[in-house]
Amino acid sequence: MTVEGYWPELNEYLCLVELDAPITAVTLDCLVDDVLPRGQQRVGEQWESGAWTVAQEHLATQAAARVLESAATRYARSPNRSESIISVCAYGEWHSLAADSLAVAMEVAGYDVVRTRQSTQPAQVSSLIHDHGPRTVTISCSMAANLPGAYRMIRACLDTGTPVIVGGAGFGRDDTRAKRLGATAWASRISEVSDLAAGLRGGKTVRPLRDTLPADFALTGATSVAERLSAALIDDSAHDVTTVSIGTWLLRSLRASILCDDHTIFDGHVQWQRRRSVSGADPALDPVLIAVRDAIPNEAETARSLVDKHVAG
Amino acid sequence: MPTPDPASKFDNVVPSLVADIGIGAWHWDPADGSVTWDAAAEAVYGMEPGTFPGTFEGFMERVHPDDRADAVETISTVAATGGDYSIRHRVIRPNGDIRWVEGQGRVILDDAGQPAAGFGIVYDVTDRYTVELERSELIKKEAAARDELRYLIEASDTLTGTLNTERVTERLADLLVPQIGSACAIDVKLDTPIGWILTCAMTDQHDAPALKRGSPNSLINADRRLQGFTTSAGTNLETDLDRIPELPTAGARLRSIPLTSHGIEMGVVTVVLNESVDQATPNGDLLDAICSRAAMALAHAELYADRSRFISIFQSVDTREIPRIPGLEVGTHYRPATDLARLSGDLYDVFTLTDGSWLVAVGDVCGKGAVAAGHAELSRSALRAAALSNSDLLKTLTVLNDVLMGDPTRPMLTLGLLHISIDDGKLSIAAASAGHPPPLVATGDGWSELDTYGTMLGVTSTPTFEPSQIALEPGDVLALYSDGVTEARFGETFYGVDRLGQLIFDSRTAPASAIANDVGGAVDTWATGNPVDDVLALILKAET
Repeated sequence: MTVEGYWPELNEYLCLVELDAPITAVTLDCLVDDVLPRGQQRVGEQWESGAWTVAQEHLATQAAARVLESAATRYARSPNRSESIISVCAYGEWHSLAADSLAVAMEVAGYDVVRTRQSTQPAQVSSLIHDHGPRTVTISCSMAANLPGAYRMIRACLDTGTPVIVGGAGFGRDDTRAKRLGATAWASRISEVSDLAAGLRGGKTVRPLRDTLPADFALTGATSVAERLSAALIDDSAHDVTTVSIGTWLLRSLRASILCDDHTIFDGHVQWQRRRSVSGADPALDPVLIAVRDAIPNEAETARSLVDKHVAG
Repeated sequence: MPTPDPASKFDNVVPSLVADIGIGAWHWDPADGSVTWDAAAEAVYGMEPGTFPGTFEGFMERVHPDDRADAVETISTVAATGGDYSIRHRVIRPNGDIRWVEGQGRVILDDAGQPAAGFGIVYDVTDRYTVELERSELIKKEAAARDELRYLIEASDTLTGTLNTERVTERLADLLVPQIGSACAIDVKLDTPIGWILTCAMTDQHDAPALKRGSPNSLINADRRLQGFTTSAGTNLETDLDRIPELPTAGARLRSIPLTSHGIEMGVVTVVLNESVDQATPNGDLLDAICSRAAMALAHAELYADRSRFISIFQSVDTREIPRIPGLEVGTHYRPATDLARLSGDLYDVFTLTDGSWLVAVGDVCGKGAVAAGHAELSRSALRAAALSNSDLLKTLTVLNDVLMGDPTRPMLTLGLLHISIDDGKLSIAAASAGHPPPLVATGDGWSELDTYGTMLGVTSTPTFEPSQIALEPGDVLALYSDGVTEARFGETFYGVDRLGQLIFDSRTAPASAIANDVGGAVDTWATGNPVDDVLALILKAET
């Protein structure tokens, strides 16, 4: 089984899996930090340009998952540490490959890993923490627009006194966003997490967050905003779901920008969405941007100006 | 009569006035070393007038031995350099009374830099100084109490943050060492398969590196001989200490406190107290207060563990193995509405009947939370019993309805059933619905709702059902779902059947598990990340 147009190294790896051949050429670190992420980046590019359908994207992702599944059994495991961790995706994050990769890497490193499926709810994380008493929770966030969901999960973990290691493309290239959201530690690569978790072991119980959120973050999360946006975007055609999806993701990334005080999150998302629209894969962006701007209350000046910048452009 | 000289009036009156208010004066003559005290100074030191021997040594005899060194140092320094000084010291009066005295003095140097004269005053400050001391002591105590309160608040936050028993004991150890003790052992009896938790923590001063910040699990493993040791009401905890061999008890000041909450003695904490901790002072109370909160946290953690074990019965719906049905891929997405308990009134099941055919069920009990989850699980069990040796869907639904109608709590259930068999090598699927949304079918030509309807279960003893039959071609998709999918709202608008049907159609070439996830993702996006109802999608796809 190979996936046409997919990252060649991953296809080679997939062939090894098919043949049940021993893994010698690729280390686990290389697999989780290089081969799989580059493969997924390729998937994203193909999807963004409209070259691939959703079904093809699923097929490629399934191939990556299969590679990972085989990796879990083929690499030599370190002795069991009698330490449990919980590995989850940020709330709202449906790209679970990074969290799954992390779970495999941690299992191979000797940890007992409790993992959940995509978009874990904060309350579920709390329950899992109470049930399993992990030393650490790891939260993976691939899309920056899901950082508000990650933040809710970080709070849920810290409320129980459990340290949180975060990572994934959504957190960016340094620890700025992770710190802003109150995470205990940030990992730049999956292969770092084992050492980071070991460093936190036996440490003091962490304290709950006592922070104040930006007013615009609260204002843009109000139910009335969703209602105004839905009234503007829904036309009851079978395809309005795409327009709604674009609108809600714009709103999510806008709130992530405000939460992190980092306009590049929203700017980057708008640019990405514009490329999708220009390629013809999605409807025109500007009417949706205007709908988002008009749904935001006037007093949320920062949020409105962030959107306005792109409407004017 | 001559007018009195004002200066001489001042010379006579002021000293007398000063003496009257208890201020004594002295004079030191460096030439012969003599020291002269007036009667008031002698009174300050509790001496009869004229009894002061007139020497520095005589003065020192009156000063409290503990204060002499400081007094000598201060006075000697000024005697050598000249200038002013101020001292405060205690005085032991001949009758044994101890008083506080303050003195101010001045030493004048001659042209050669040698002391020419010294003089000064002394006065009793006992009353004022006692008040000052009491005030200072009160401030210290208040600060200590504030620190303790702050620490107790932190301890409460720390202990109540977790509902995991092992973490409670670890956090208790963290709170006690090194702040209150240099080592501690926490021994807890649990109503779990583990049975015991023993957590130890100790500082570097104890030569037991293996036990620093001990992990409960490793200690349980390392110390299995503690199995069977019981702590019960009436046990002399002090005598049980030797059964915790790692604790450095030799010569230590120990304190053992039972962990008791709701009248149940769950264990014992033994602390090797720090030198500074006085068991009779607020610090001793602090230890009791922390342990009392820890006991309560342990009790809550035990209640939570019990609840988790109970809930795991209901949650098995999400983890059970789905049997392989030849020619069909099965994918599921199941997510209870946001809540700590993760309990849902939605149910699904796929199981093999005694004749080798399969039953697929998706249902929804009216209501939410634990009660709905309990009814859902009971209904699922009843369904299995009714269906196991019976491939007739109508009969199964009728039996299940009878069971629910006979339940005094009268749970109401919507249920969609599929009976799947392989006849002559071909998949044969019968569908029936009891008030549940009909399944969706997506083929290369589009999507549609399956034409099957019926009465919700648990409402009437004479329900009616309209079953139907469907044949799937390779690549066709059949989707069963709960109303949490179609009733997810964006603003005022439901996601609805049309959008779901279109999604299933658009995704039909993907694997069944991916289609199920797409449904979850689409609902999540539509509901702007906050679906308020349980979301369940079960996808069957005919293999290509």
